Amino acid sequence: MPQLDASFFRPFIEGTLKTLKVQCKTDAFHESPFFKGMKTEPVFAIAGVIDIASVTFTGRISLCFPEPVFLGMMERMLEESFPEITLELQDGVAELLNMIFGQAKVTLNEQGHTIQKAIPTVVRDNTLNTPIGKTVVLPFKTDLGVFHIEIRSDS
Amino acid sequence: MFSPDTHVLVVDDMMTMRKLVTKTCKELGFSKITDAADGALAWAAIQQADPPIGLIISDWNMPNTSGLDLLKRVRADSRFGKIPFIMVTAEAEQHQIMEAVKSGVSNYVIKPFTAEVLKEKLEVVHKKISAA
Amino acid sequence: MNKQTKPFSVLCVDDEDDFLLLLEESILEIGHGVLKASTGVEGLKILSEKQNEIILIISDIQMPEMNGYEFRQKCLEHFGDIPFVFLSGYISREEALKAVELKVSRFIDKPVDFATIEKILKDVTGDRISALKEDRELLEGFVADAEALLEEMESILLSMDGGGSDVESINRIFAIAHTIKGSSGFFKPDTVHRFTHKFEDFLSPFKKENRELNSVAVGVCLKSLDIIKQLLSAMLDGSVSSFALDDLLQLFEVNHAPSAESSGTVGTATSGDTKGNAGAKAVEAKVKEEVRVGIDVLDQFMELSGEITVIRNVINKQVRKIEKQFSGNRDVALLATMIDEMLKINGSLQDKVVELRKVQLKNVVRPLHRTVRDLSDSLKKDIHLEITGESLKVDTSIAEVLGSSLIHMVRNSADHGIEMPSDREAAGKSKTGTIHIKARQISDSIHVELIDDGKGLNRELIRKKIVEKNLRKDDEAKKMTDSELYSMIFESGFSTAAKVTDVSGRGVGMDMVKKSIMKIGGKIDIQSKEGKGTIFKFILPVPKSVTIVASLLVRADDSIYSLPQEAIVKVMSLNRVENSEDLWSVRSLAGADVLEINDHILPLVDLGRAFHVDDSLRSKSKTLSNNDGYLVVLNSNGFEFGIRVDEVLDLEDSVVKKLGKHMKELSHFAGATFLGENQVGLILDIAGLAGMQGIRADEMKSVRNEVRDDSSGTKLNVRDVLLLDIGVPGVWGVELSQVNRLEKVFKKDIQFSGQQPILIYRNETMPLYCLGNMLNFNSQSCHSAIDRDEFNVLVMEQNGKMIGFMVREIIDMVQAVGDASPLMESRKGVLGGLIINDQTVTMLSLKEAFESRNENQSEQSTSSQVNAA
Repeated sequence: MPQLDASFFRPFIEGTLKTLKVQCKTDAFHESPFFKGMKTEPVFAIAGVIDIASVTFTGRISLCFPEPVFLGMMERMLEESFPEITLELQDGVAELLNMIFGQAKVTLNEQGHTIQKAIPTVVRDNTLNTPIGKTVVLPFKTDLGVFHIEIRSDS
Repeated sequence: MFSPDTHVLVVDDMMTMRKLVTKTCKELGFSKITDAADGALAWAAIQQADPPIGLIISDWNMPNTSGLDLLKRVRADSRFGKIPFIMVTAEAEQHQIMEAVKSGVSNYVIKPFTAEVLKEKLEVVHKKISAA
Repeated sequence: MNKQTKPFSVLCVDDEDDFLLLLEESILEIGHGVLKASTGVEGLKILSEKQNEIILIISDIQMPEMNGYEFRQKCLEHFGDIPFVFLSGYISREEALKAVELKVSRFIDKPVDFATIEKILKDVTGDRISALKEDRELLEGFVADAEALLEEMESILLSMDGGGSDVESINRIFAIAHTIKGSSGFFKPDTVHRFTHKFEDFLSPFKKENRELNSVAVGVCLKSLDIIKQLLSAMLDGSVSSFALDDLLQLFEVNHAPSAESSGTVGTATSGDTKGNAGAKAVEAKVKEEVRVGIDVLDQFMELSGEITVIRNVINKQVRKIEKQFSGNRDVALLATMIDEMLKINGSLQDKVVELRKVQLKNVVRPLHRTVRDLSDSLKKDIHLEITGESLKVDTSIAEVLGSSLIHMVRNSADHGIEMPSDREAAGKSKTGTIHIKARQISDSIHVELIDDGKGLNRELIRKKIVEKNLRKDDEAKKMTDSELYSMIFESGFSTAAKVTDVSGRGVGMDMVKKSIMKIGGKIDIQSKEGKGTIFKFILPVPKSVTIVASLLVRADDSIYSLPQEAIVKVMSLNRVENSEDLWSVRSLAGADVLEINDHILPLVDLGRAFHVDDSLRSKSKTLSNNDGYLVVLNSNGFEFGIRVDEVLDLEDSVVKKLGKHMKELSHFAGATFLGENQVGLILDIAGLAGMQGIRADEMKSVRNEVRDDSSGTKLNVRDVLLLDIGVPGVWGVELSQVNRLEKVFKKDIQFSGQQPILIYRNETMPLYCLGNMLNFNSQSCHSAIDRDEFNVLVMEQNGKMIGFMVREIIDMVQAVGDASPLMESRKGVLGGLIINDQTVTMLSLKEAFESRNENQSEQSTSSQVNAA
């Protein structure tokens, strides 16, 4: 089933809501997903990226934050304030994505996706290079501002 | 429960996670906390720590030497074999947890986690040790 | 938009009609639709058309042709995990196990009652229903977004109908088709995806060859658009599969030879003529809004507006004086208010003028696409041009130079750099060569890089040519460094091309490039690696003659200096009474004055002394312990130091005037500014000043050591440890005693000897090694130390030779007690782990790392260094 549908990205939405709630004490609300390129793209300053390989799906999951939102999340997570995204701090986005991914993975594997090990990387400065049209954007709203997850399909 | 004087070793390759776990430990009352950025370094820290390490909380996935490698090394050493060892992992999957249990992990915590969750797990571990 | 949502359905598969009817009755009563099939094959057919509304499959086990298990297996393979229930009375243990494997949710007994059906629907379909609802939302969102894009495409098409399409319009149309194609691929059935795919194929020659869309083509586009719209709404009501795609695709077959099918499109073309006229009018209207202005006029305008700023400042000062003398006078107060107003307007005038002079780089680089395409054709090469940063706006003078230079450079790269496709393939590269133009602004310079992945510069060939062309003598040529060699290709009369081609190879052009770049004060930096490619980097200063810098005026002795405000960290009065926030003191260490502030030690520069003002001219009793004057803390590229001044005068926008030629080599002055009253102030270049004063991290080291030595008496095998960021996660430590010096190095100063990066250091050639790469056990997580323009180098002396280790950053210097403990596994260059301030630090041995470099250091370290440039 190469089709990328709600049953595939819902675990990511749920993983995100739970992770942010528990780790950053932040209630996030997800908004209608849309396809990248069809609406004005949300900007971000930092993104965690995980490449995924599974029998049913290959692609890439990116968790993208504008700077103030990320700094706010880190502040809540570590109870320490940060004036800027330093090299060390930027790992935080990979860690959050790891947690979200870990949550989603269980559900997805139950669904028969058997997702393979993926290595998270961090991208800075709004340059994800996801080809337009193959990517679903899942926007989220929080009291700190908006952020989003991109799910790109290479299948 | 563990004494607040217990020397805790926090092992994680990511600075943010080290901070997070350290912060959580402080919330639980621990005052002496040392951190290390991977399993191999943690082993060095275990050997030289003064006072000796009384609790290890380690990430699973780390470059070079994983948490599982560290666990196996610690358990294989007569000096440190009994140190309570908590594995922190984002992998909420059964077979991985089983692997850690087989290697002698005291308990595990799945990320994301709260101070309460860690506390519960620590209590279980402590009870187990006290009973033994 | 059609928002009608279809009800969810249950698919019931049974060869006995009676049961089907019974099921249908119950399910309809619960409020869902029912789809019936009497065989598995039939069931699969229904699934392929309506899977997006099916929330549950109820199937018999014993059926002819395909039994229930086989049917379930096929469902899983093709349609995923749709909840599935078996209708069966008795089942064996074996069957039950098989069913579990096939993810069958339940077994229900025949005959079934209403309550059972209701319970099952409630229990097992919840997730499926919400997933389908979300899918539907996604689909609806997609259709709405796509319809908006199609509207846009339609209006573009209509405005160009009758010919005259421009590149931008075609690109936009193509982009829209591409986007819809990609997104629609997520949905089943993929009719829209396949249709738009063909549509995109139809468009792509127009885009690639830069061809105009003629009226026939526009007609095809408009028709495609209508079809896509129909398909989209069919996706919503689930009737897409009723469209015969092959028939629809005929549209694209007929476009070249106008036939009955396309006569309609020709018809639109005639009616489009009037629209074409309307378009022309729109263009006329647009022209009226834009007026061309000569650059010389802009230059004068800038100059004049600068003069106004100078006069404005003088007036302002005078008015403030008058205001003091006649405080309370209403006329004077009014004058002051008006002057304030004038300041504001003048300020925004400045901004506008600066903005006016800027042009988008886009205008300069866009035509290069054409150049590259033409070159690809004539050279029979496959070349792709990539441009990043084209939205950057640059001063006209820079745009002008870039415009002419880049064409030469692109030609040069296409001709000499990129290999023939067959050669590329033989070298294990992709057939398509890439030329990447990358532009960005880094503080006060525009950096434009031209990167090709071609064969790189051939040093030996260049050397040979130099001698052949009599540009250098043989022995001289042998001694030339790589960068000297590379720079020769910009000399007039030099060309390494084996034969003279249409494109380049006559040796003119490149020298013009160099001249024009030099003329605007720019620099060219070349890095190349044989077989991998070449990077030409232009560093072009934003013209200083037109910059206005917000600055602080200070007086030191009798000179007035202007300090750029952005470099100022804080200003402190030496009069301790006024100072409350910070704990600080000035002290003398190692013969130099330092400022100790909040536990930091900053070097201190006495401006008067720095500029060699004759001592006799200097005011008397200049010792810093005196309670007069001010300290200004400045930040130069992240490094702080203090300067001492006598007086802090005013904040002001300084119009920077270039210094005369005789002062050009004075790197510590960025220019001069008129202060009014016929005074000239010198604008300090903070980085230049820091450099001139030799303020570097190594000075800090010695200062720190002394502070500790005289403050604390306790010495318990305490060692100084430098905590480093080497690009590999974790904290790394090196004992200070291993290091001879610490240097801050700019990337531009690095040269290459073969693949080995080197630095000319104290008149010696010092090899540089990336410490992170040397120790790198996990290349994935290693950032190159020199992915930034400036980085730190630890200098170690080994057998009388200097060796440099590049690190990203020196985080801190701390004191550590005790020895490192061995790691779990030994690593080359690693002494062990040491707990420092509750942190376990990996302690390194530079000597061991260096000695083991041949084992550890692989190709990747050097290649990442080249790429990093």
